[in-house]
Formats: sequence, structure tokens, C-alpha cells
Amino acid sequence: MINSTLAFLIVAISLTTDQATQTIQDSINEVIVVLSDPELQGVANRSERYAKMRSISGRVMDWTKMAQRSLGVHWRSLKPVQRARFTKTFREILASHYLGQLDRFQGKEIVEHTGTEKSNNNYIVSMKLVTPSRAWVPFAFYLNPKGRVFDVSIEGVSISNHYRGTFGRMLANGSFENMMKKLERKLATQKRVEAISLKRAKQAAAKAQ
Amino acid sequence: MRAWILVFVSLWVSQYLLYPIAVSQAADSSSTIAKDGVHRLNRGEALRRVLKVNPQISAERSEELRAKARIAQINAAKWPQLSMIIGVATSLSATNTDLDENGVRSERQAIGDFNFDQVRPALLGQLQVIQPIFTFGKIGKFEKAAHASLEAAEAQTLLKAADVAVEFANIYESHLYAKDIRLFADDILGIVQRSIVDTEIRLEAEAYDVSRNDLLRLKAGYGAAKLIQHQADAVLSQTREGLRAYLQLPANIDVETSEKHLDPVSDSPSSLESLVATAQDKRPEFRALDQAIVAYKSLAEAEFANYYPNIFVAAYASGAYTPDRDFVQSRYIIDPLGHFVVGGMVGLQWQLQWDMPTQRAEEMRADVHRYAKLKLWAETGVPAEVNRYFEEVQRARRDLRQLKESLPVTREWVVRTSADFASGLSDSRAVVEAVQAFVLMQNSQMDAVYRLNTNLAHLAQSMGTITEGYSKIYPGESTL
Repeated sequence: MINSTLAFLIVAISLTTDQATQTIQDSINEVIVVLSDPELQGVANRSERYAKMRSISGRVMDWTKMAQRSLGVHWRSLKPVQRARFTKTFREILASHYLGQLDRFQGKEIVEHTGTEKSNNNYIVSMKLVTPSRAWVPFAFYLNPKGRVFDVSIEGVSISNHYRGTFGRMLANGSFENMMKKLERKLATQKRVEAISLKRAKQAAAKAQ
Repeated sequence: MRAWILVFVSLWVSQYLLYPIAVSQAADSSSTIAKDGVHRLNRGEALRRVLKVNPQISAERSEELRAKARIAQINAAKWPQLSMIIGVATSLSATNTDLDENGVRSERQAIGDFNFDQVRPALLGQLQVIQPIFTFGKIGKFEKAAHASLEAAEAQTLLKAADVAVEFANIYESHLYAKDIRLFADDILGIVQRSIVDTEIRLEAEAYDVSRNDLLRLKAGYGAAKLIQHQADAVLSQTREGLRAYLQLPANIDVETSEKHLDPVSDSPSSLESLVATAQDKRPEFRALDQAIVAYKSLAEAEFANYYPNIFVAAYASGAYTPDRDFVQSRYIIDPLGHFVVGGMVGLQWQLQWDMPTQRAEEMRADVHRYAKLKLWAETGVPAEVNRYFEEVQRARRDLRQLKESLPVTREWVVRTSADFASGLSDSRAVVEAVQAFVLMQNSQMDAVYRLNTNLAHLAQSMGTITEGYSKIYPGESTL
């Protein structure tokens, strides 16, 4: 009885295909608005721009689920504190990298919705990014019934699956601690890079004045 | 080769019938110009316009007009040849011989008594009509040669049109290729430029995952992309002028292709056998060579006919009238300023030329032999040419099929190396290596489409269908 009631509730609150599509399109549109906002342009406004994009991605991304999928079976052997540490670092690294990628858009790119399909209780919203030179990149968002993205694929490459293989090899050849050191080193480097880039932008702005 | 067919035929026909030829040609100046001053045409529209207005093709049509004029001259030779002189002159007073009743002869010299009162206008006229009634086939053979030379000229115009169409197709496809390359170079330059800035910052931050070599590699890549951009700009400028020239558009009209990108023109052509069969049916060379053989055979036969005379009938009339002048006419005396005479005859005209007609016919036969052998060569060469371009098209299609698999692979490679680089699990060299492979594949894809389209144009030429303006092979539009 309880099970059937839960199942009913899940169905009742789960998305439709159109809602899944709309969720992703709304998020993409929000990102485009941020990227094309004249007041947020330039390196000097990058921190604010990134903060807004992080806020959008934070609403739509289920980072914990993505981190869990990226570690695969190794997730189960981690303690809650290790899981939290990994999730935080993993999220920061991915956000830093992919926000940087998004930030490179020139405003001439076109994002097209190519289809949404339901797979079990999840949804796969497929999109296509077309550049001015017509090179196009297929990507897809995997949404759970609550409308949160737990995986992204680019060119058919699932980010979770890719990292599951990479992290799996690292954990097979070393410890969790060693892997985390590498990730944290990368993150620290990334933060230094962002700081220098901000400093440069400020210098350039001062020089221009 | 093609030009010589006409040169020889025209020389030999005109040697016998030299009449002035007036050639007039109406130039097609119709054009549709967009309101924004940019003339946009798609592949099919552009090709059809070139076939209609290009002066190179119009110039070639002068040979057709020349051949038509020769046919008209030969037709005129069947009609009576009239020779007529009509004029007005002044008459001098005649010498009068008077005998008196005593038989004393006295003469009055008009010259001596000359005064202007004796001057009268004299009307003079002569008419000669010659009608050939039997020439032992000379006129008929020349007529057949002239008709064959007209057909050969028409085929030669088609050959020129096909050459022009292929030249234009190469320019059109190069323009689209350069447009795509320009956009791709812009994309790459944008990415590389931002990567250079990122790498400089990372070096300043003493990041462990980049080195000075990475920066140099990126800067070298930037330079290479710039060179490609320069080349694309130059090609775009050249092809735009080329399109304008071939389309005969004025200098103040910008020309642009309707297609934004270079896409494959048409579906895979049917079997090689059917393409060869079409070529054997439609290639203008076959028609030109067949007609050249007919023309030279006819001229050789006409030369042999020179051993026989021309039979003709002729009529002659001569008259002169001078007012106030005595009309004196007898069988023995005709006054040139006052007479009327008519006459007629049936005659033979024949010229002994010893062995010359035979040897001139041998010359003609040598040309018949030459064109017969060239036709034999065309019968084997044309299928080989069709095969050549068919295989080039097939190769381009195979390349595109392969690239359809390989391009996503290189993109996946870029995604995976980027993801590893992002998480600090690999260095930037792996990303650069993957990006280089992607650029190579992307460029190879554009190159394959360009090769496909230009070879389809050559294939349509080798089949003799490109001048139709509508061809499923090229420009990819069918009237069906």
C-alpha cells in the first residue's frame, strides 16, 4: 500500500517530456541572457558573470548525483565526509571548466533542441550547438523525475561515464587521497589563474581610463 | 582540333562562293538586380544565366552565323545569276555623210561643229542572265557540306559552353569553399586567441599543467589560422569578381551566392554504364566529328565533280537611247548610243585542271581519315573521361562517408581530453593534439565536398549534360 502510494506520488510530481524540455531551454536562455548582458561583459565582470551562471547551474544540476555516478562503485566505499569533499571539488572543477567553455561563446552560436525522450523515469533532452562555421556539437542533458540534471553528454560522451573510467583507473592504481590531491591541486591552480586573470582585467581597465 | 574542322570547311566552301557576309548578333543584356544592390543567385540560376549571357559563348556562335551565311550563299547559287549595267551618258553629235543630187560626197564633222546645243543625255543598259541547269552535283555537295558545317558549329558552341560552365562551376564552388573556410578560420582564431590568453595567465600562475611550449604551439597555430584566413579572403575577392564577370553583372552590383555554405550538390549518380551511355548520346564532340566527316566527304565529291562541266542557259540584252539622235541599226552596224539587241544561248563551262581535282579531293579525304580516327579515339576516350570523373566523385563520396564517422570521433577525442585536462588528469598537449586532428578532419570534410561538387561539374561536362542548365548531376536540379 505504501509502495503504491509512493509510486503514485512519484508519477504525480514527475515531469512531462515538454516540462523537461522547457526546464533545459529556460536554463539555457537564462545563461544566454547573462552572456549577452552588456553590463556583465568583459574579463573585469567575469566573477559576477560566473556567479550568475553558477546560480543557474546550481538550480538545475544535481551535483551530488553526478559525483556519485562519476565514481561508480567506489562511491559506496567512501565515508560521508569523503563523499562531501569529492562532490565539492568535483563540482568546482566542472563548473570552472564548463563555465569557462560557455564564456567563450561569441553570441553567434545557435542552440537547437533536437528532441526529448523518456528513458525509464528519466528524460534525455538533446540539443545541438551550431557555430557560425556550421561545426555543430550535439549535447544532451539527463534529467531525473524531479527535473534535476544528473549527467551531461557532449558529442555522445557522457561526462559521468567518462570520469567513471578515469577515476576508476586512478583508484585502481592509487588511493582516494592521491586522487583528491590531484583534483585539489588542479582546483587550486584554477583559482590562481582566475585571480591573475581578474588582476589583469582590472589593470587593463585602469589603463584604458 | 574543333576549330580546324570549321576553318577547313569554311575555306573550301567560301573559295567557290565569295560573297560578303554580314553578321549581326543580338546581345542578351537581361538581368535581375536586387534592390539592396546585391545579386543573389543559387547554383542553378547562376549557371543558366552564364550559359545565356556569357560573351565567350556568344562569340562562339559567330561560327554558326557564318555557316548559315554560307548556306544562304549556296542557295543563291541555284538561282539565275544576273548581270546588269544601267547608266546615263552624254552623247556626242554623230558624223553625217550627205550625198547631193550630183553624187558629190560631203561630210560634216560634228566635232568641228560642236556646240553645247548638240549634247543630249544617253540612256544605256546591258542585262546578262546565266542559269546553271546541271552542275553534276557540285552545288548539292557544297550545300551538304555547308549544312554539316552548321551542325559542327552548333556542336562547337556547345563545347565552348560546356568549358565555360565548368570554369564557372569551379569559381562558384571555390567561392562557397572559401566562405566556409573563412568562417572556420574565424572560429579557430577566436578559440586559439582565447587559449593563448588563458595559457599566458596559467604560465604566470605557474600552473603545473602548461608549459612555454604549449604557448608557442598555440601561437604557431594562430599564425597558421591567420594564413588560412588571408588565403580565404583573397579567394573570396577573386571568386566574387569571377562570378561578376561570368554573370556579366555591372561593377556596381555585388554578387553573392544564395547558398550560405558548401553542401553536396546532388545525390550519388547512377551506374557508370548509364552515364557512359548518356555521354555517347549527348557529347557534342561526337556530333562535331560526325558532321566534319560528312562535310569533308561532300567536299571531296564536289572536287571530283570538277572533271565534269557546268551546263547553263544564258540570255543577253543590250539597249541604248539618245533623244534627237538618228536610230541606225543593221546586222552589221550597232550604234552604242542608240540600239536594242537580245540573244540567248545554251552552253557548257568546263575547265581542264589535269590532276588538281583529284589531289584536292585527296586532301579532303585526308581530313575525313583524320576525323574518323579522332572519332574512334573519342569513342574510347569519352568513356574513360566519364570513368575518371565518376571515380573522383565516388572517391569524394567515400571520403565524406568516412569523415561522417571520423569527425565525431575526433570531436569525442577533444571532449575527453578537455575533460581530463579540466580535472587536472592530463596536460594541454593531449588537448592540442586532439584539436589538431579535429581541424584536419573538419578541413578534410570541406575539401571533400568541394572535390565532390567540382568533379560532379566535370562529370556533367563529360556526359554532355552540363549545358542543359538543368541536370541532376550538376547543378543538381532536374526539369523532371
